[in-house]
This record gives sequence, structure tokens and C-alpha cells, in this order.
Amino acid sequence: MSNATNFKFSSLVGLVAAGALLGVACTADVTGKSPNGAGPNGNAAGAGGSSTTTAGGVGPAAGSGALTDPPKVPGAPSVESAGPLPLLRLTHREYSNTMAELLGDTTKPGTTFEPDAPGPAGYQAPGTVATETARGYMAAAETLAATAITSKKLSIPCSAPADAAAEKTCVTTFVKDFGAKAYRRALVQGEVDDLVALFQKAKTLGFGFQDAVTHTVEAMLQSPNLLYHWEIGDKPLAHDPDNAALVALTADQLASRLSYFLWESPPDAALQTAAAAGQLSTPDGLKAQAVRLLADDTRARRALFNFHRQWLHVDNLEDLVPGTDLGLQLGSELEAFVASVFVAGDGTLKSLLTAPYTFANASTAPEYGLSANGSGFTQVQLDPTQRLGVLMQVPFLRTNGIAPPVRRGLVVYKQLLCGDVPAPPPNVPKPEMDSPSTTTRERFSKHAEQACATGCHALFDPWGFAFENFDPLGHYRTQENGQTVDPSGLAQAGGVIGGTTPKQVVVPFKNGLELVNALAASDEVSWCTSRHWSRYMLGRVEGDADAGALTNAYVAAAYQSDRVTARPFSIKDFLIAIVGTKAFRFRAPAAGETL
Amino acid sequence: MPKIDRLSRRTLLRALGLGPAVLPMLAVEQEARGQVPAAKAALILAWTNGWMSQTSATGWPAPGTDWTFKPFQASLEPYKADLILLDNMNYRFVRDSTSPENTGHACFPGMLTGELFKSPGSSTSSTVAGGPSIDQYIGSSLVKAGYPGLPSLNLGVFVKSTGRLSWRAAGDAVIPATDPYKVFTQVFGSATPAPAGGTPDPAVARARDMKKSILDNVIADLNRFSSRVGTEDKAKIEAHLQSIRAIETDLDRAMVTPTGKPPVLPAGVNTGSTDAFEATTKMMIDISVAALAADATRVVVLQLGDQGDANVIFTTLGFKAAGKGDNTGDDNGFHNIAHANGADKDKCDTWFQTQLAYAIGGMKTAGLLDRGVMLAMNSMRHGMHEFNNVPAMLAGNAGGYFKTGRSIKLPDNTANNGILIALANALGVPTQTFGHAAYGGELSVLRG
Repeated sequence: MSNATNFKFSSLVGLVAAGALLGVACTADVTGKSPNGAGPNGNAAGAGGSSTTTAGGVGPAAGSGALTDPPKVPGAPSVESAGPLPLLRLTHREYSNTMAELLGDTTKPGTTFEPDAPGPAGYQAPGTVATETARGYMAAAETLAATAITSKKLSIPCSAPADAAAEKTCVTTFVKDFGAKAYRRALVQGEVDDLVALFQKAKTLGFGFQDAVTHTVEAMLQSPNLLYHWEIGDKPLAHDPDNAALVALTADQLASRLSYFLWESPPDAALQTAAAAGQLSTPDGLKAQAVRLLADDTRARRALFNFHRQWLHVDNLEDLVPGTDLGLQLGSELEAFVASVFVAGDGTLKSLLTAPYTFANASTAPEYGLSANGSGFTQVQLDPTQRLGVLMQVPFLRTNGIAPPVRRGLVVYKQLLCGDVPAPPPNVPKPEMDSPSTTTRERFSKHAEQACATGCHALFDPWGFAFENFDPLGHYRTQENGQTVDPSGLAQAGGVIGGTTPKQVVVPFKNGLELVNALAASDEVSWCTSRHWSRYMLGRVEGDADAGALTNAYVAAAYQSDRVTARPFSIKDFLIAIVGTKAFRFRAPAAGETL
Repeated sequence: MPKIDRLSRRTLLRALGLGPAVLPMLAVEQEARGQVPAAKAALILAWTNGWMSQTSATGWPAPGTDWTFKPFQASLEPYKADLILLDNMNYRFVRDSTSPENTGHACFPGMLTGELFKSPGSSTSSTVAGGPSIDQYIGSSLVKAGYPGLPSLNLGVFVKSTGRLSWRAAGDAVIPATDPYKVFTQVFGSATPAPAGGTPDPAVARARDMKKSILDNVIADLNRFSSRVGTEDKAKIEAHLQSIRAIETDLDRAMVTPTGKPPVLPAGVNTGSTDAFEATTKMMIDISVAALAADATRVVVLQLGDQGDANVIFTTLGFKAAGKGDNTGDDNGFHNIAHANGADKDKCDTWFQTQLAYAIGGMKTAGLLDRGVMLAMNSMRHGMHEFNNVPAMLAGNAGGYFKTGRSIKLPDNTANNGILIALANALGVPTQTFGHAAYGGELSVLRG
């Protein structure tokens, strides 16, 4: 057993000792198992860092608890497999981005549709097209097609063909060329024939050449081939040579999966070319493209923002502050910050959670007591004795600012530590309304004392108390209603964290700064972050079939290439590694599917 | 879901050689025979945050025929003989659904369905409803039986959240139209409707044919697509196909020219602004009444605000935006005023009752209280997130179907379903159960 192993798994529990040194009470509460279930870890108050572990396994074995704990290392790489790939349609954000790339549209038409609901994994992963959505697609297609052709952002390769034969040739070329971009694969003959026939039908109805092409484009913009992530066409499907139970994604599917995962946008020409040249058929080829995509600030920031807004519950931005666009501006702040961490920066968990800066413009700077000019966002340093990292920036603090200890604590507990939360019991009394003489903490502590509420709130409220130095609007404070706020705590993710394995992770902290530093160094948070990115990528909850791939990608991002020496967990490296795994490249065939 | 599909049963019975006299006639069939149907118009008005506050100044009228209105309902005094006041209704579907939000706001998406939620969801989930809403059920039943007008008009004032009221089917929300000018054009404009029985404008017909051809192309693509996916995913494609077919059906429908008088709308109202809440409400009520009077549709749903009204500021009542707020809305928004549950809420509640009175007055003038009915519903009693003990109100006798002039306290545990079923039957769509069948049939006390 190496020291590295010890360091890795004891990083959170190790804080117990630190807390003891700081005089925080109750640190001897660490009575359960260590975070990876490796053994008892008692007497922690006096024995920080002395926890022991059993001989490390190679990684999660198959089984219901396979994904609960951070993988143990060192060891040989895990055997990879893949789970199902559900049919997903483009989210409305993906639709807007796709229209921007295809037609140069900047109106974000997806924002006018009935919003996408979160999927079972907590991330938007829509599968169906309700009637209102279909109406929305129809209306949007009419406007988008007409605008793109009139403005010549979408050009037709001929202006006024001499006769019907010349028209047909021209339209056939157009349909094939534009279709390859719109459908993200080459069209099959039946599709080309139908679209040319539609063009001819429009002519028969009396529409001119350009209008008839416009109507043909309308059909393509409403086609399932554009609207769903399923770029197969009539291609035969291949099995994994190592495992006949798995189906390989086609090169076109891989290109699209990669670009929508890391760009929230369709593949560019370079990616389509790489796919056509067979360069996506190897893990290294995919990883090389992932590196390239993550370096594209304009498009990578779309996906990075989209993940983080859902992961950290930074949502309802449009209506956050009625009558103003401050909510949207705060969204832009988060986008700029995560782009700087991942695109230009090292992409580590540590940077995300502890970087002492953010981005601000004239609208958002006052939220930090700063000033800035103009609407563009520039990097501003924050007082590191007050704020560190994304959890102590206004976008997170404010969007989770109602019942702040509960909501902020819930994000830490559920989204960063993958803790389970039982359904709330009925008739939980609401916390007292604001009162002139109490602090938020006092009122919410009272709420959580109710017998029916203790079961849940004991799990997540304590994490949220770390942010008591921030009012519901995310402004820094040391006083509330004339009293000094108390941001210290002893949070435990115990009992039900991760599902089936009972255990105790206890983190005492003096304030939010200590908590975010502890989280940034935690294996549990690193592993949980990996699992959340996997959910985002897969469009479903990760399962046992994905465990090997997740483990290998995690080890690649948390250890040096010797697979022994720990290093600060790099989320960016995880993203690059995961696209090279079988969980990304293959899928389990669906029931009833004819390959 | 409706337990009995009368139409298919009728078709079946006809195929078996049984005469139509075996079944009650649908309204449209009665009309075709020159008979007068029971009712031709239903206006459903809905809003949230409760009928009244808990202050001593308010209270629901006592049961009987000679009740006294508290001041907040004074505007309804002229229409006492036209009303049926109901107290003690229970949104049982919320109580019995698995929902993370067992509160009055979650009543909103099911007020008109009476069905358990399809999946655990919040009041703002746009896919949560477990079945169709009564307006869609009545409207589509009438259209299937040959009614040539719009199946329904779904209107809203300042609808900002994604909580929905009306549903075509489980999880398939209808988004209300919120721009009265556009609705006016849709219902009364000269461009779209063809004269009844006449020839449509060739340009309109051509545009419609083009849209249908495009959708045919989408259908061909969907069918090709479906052959390359598994069983579960085929169901998704089938749902998409149904959505496309629903649009095609709408395109096919011959539009009738309303014979009534279009309302006069004030110009230049910024209907997206909370400042215009009152003005927009009046415009929408005028359009609703005129559309029903013209038989452009037989069912109108008008929601005043959304399922929470977090950011509705009643500036015409003297409230001003506080400029700060969070997900529960502006500090002076109607939602937060409702939670304070004091004199400010009484002001707002009085305003809502005045809108009901305005709608009832409009319907009365148009003769719609005799051949139609208004149903007013709120998702709560007081606005403190109750789903039990909620009032409702009917206005109009619907061709003698309802016995008006009464205030009724319902037995405990009476679900909203019985009222919805009565509405369907009054409109000539024979129905035994609607929504969650365990909640029983028509609320017979409404008929006397």
C-alpha cells in the first residue's frame, strides 16, 4: 500500500484532525467506515491521517455498489463495457446552437419552445416531441429557412436553372450537401429522392424556384434525422470485436456524440473529415479530437456552461431578478468562469472550487462590491479571505438563495458528494418567515429540529451553513439581524451516501473557505463529479456496465501515468479520457432493435 | 382517461345494426337533426393563490339560496340568481399523486384533468399531467363528431412559468396564447377563415397544401427512422408521429367564419408586461365571450396568470415592484402577497372577483348564461398552499342543465372530477367518468 493511496482516500476524513486542531467540537463522531468502506476509522480526533485500508482492489467490481466509492488504486485497468444508448432528441439549447452553426442564426429559436424537463439523471435528456414542440419546430423551420436563404447565409448552388432537368440536378446537389451537415451524415437515396420530390411538389403548387428550395429546407429542419441523436441512416452496424454483446457507434455517431458532449453543437468540418477518414475508430483518435474541441473557447463554453448550470442548480436565470436581465448576466459570469478553468486553465477540481477570481461586467461587478465598465466580462480578483471558487460566486449563491442553507447544502451533498436524499415526508412545516431578531441559521435549525424533518435536513443543511457568510443574494456578510453569523459546522455525509454502503464522512469546518478546500481535495467529490459528467454524457444514470470505463477514466485523471502517484484531480483529463472508453464508443443494443 | 369513448362505441353499435336511439345523442348530432342541443359554450376561468385570504374581512358564502357576499365578492351581487357556489372541493389527485410538491401550486396542472400525475413532478413541470384536460376532451370529442369550429381556445394572461393547465393527453401540454392581438386575428381575422361552405382563398389553400406536403415528408422520415431503433425508442417516434398527425388534422379543419361581432380591442397594449395585466385580462375576456357567442369554438380556457404568479405586480391596484426577489418572486408580487395573507391580498382577491363578474356580465349580455356556462376554479382556498376545502363557481344554466341560484357545501372528500364530468355532459359529450375513475362520476347535486 502506498502513501498515495492513503492520501487519496483519507483526504476528507483527514480534515477531522484539522478540525480538532482548530478546536471544533464533536470531531470524535467519526465512528463509521472510511469513505471507501475500507475499514474502521475510529479515534479520529486524535489520529488524523492514520486511517488504514485493506489491500486495494483494482476498481469497482460488477454489482449494485460498484459505483458507490471512488476507485481504489493502484491496479491494472478495469475491464470496460458499455450500457444502452437511449434515443434522445436535441435539447432546445442544442437546437439553437445547431441552427447557429448550420444557418448562421443568432436568434436562439429553441428558447421559444416549451422548456425541456430534466431527465431521470438530473440533466436534460429529452426523448419525445410533444405536439407543441412539433408546432414550434414547424414555425421555427419556416422562419429560419426563409431568413437563411433570403440573406444568403445558406446559399443555393444555382440561381435560376434553365429547365426542370437543370433544377433537379441543382436541387439534388444542394440537398446532399446541406443534408450532410443537417443530418450529420450522408443522406440515403430514399431521403434524397423524397426531398427532391418535395421540391417538385412545391413547384407544382406554383412556388418559384427559391421558395420551393426554402420549403425543402423547412422539411429538413423538421426531420428526425436532424432532431434526434441517431446518425445511422441505412449503415450496417458492427459489433465490438472483443465483445459481441456490444454494438459500435458509427463514425458519424462518434463525431456527433463528441461534439454535442463537448461543444453542445454539431460537428465542424474538421471533425466530419476526421470521421470520414476513420480517425475516430481508435481511443487515441477520439481523445485527440476531444483535446482540440476543448480548446475551442467559443463552442466548448456552451457545453461547459450547460453542464455546470445543471450540476450546480444555477437555473431559472431569466426570471431571477424580475424586470432585469441580471440573472442572465450571472449566467454569463458562470460561463466565463468555467471556460477559463477548462479551456485556458488546468481544468482541475481544485481550480473550479478554489480559484480566487471571477468574471464581471458593469452589471454584475456591484454584486461583489466592485465596479467594471461595459457589458463584456473581464477577470476580476476576489478577496480570498471571503470567496474562493464557483460555490462562493454569486451565480451559485443567488440561484440557490431561497432557503439558502437547504438549497446550497443540497447541492454540496447531492451533486458533489452523490448523497442520496429520501423523499420529503408530507406536511413538513415551513421555516419561519424572516424575523427581525433571528439569523437565517437559527430559523432553519429550528425547522430541521422538527421530528419529521430531521432525517433529511441533518443530511444536507450542515453543508449549507458553510455559506452563511453570504446572504440570499450572494452578498458577503458577517452580521445578520444584528447578530454575528455562524458559518462553522460539522457536516456529515453519512448513512446513505452513495446508496447502499453505510458510512460516515465527517467534515468539520470553520467557514466556507475551509469547506471548499476540503471538497477540492476530496476523492469522493472527484469521483462524484466524474459520475455527474458521465450522466450528462450518457443521457441516463450510469450503471454497472459503465463502471469499468468510469474507473479507467477517473484513474487517468486522478493519478500519474504510473497509476500509483496521486495528482490533483483534473476534470478536463477525465473528459478527454472518458471519450476513449468503451462506454463512449460502444453501446448495448436495444431490445427489439434490428441491427 | 375518459372511461368510455362514446364515439367509438357509437360507431360500433351502428356497425352492429343498432339504431342511434340506443345512445344519447351528441350535441352536434342533435344540431344536424335540427334539434336544440343542451349547451353550446363553456368558459373556464382559472387562477392561483386562492379565492380569498384568511382575514376576518373575507369568507365563503354560507350554503343555501339566500346568502350574503362578503365585500370582496360584492361585484357578483347582480348575478346571484345565475350562480352555483361550491365549497369544500378536494383536489384529491394531488393528495394521491407521488409529487415532491404536495401543495396548492401543484393543483394547477391537474385542476382540469382530475388524474393522478403521470410521474413525480413539480407544479412547473410541463409533462406532469396524467391525462387530458376537460377542455381538450370536450373540444376534440365535438370536433370528431363533426363540429366545424376550433376544438378549444386556450388563452392566458401573463403566463411566465411552465406550469400548464390544459393537456391534450398525459404529459402533452397545451401552451396558452398570451397575445390577444394574435388571438383576435386567429378567431376573427379575415385572412384565415373561409366562408362557411365556401371556397378558401387560393393562397391560403396553397400554403396549407405545402405545409401538409412538408409534414408528409417528416412522416416518411420518421417511419424510416423507426426501423432502426429498439422497441422503447419506437414508442418515442410513434409519439412524434402522433404530434405531426395532430398538426395535420388542424390544417385539414375547415375554418368557419364567426357570425358574431368581434370585440373592439384597445391598440398598443404591451400585453407582455405585468403593468398590463388588467388591460390584457379585459381583452381576453372580451375575446372569449365573443368567440363563444360566434360559435367559433365551444370551449375557452382562460388562465389569469400562471401557476404561481411569482412576478405578477398589480400596479393598477397600487403595488410597486420591490425590485428584489428570488424564485418565490418579487417581494411585492402576488405570490408573496398571498403568503402574507393580509389586506393586500384582499385587494387582489377583490380584483379577481371583479373579473369573474365582468366575464359573467359579458356572457349574460350575449345570452351565453342560458346556452352555456362559466366555470371558475382556483388551485387553492386561501393561497397558503391548501389543496383541500377549495371553492369553485359555476355561472349559467347551460340550457337548463344546471340549477342555479344556490350555494352548496360539498360533502368532505368530493373531488374536482365530478364538476368536470358535469361540464362535459352539459356540453353534449356524454361522459360517465373523467380523470381518475376511482373519484366517481358526475356531481349530480349541480342539477338540482
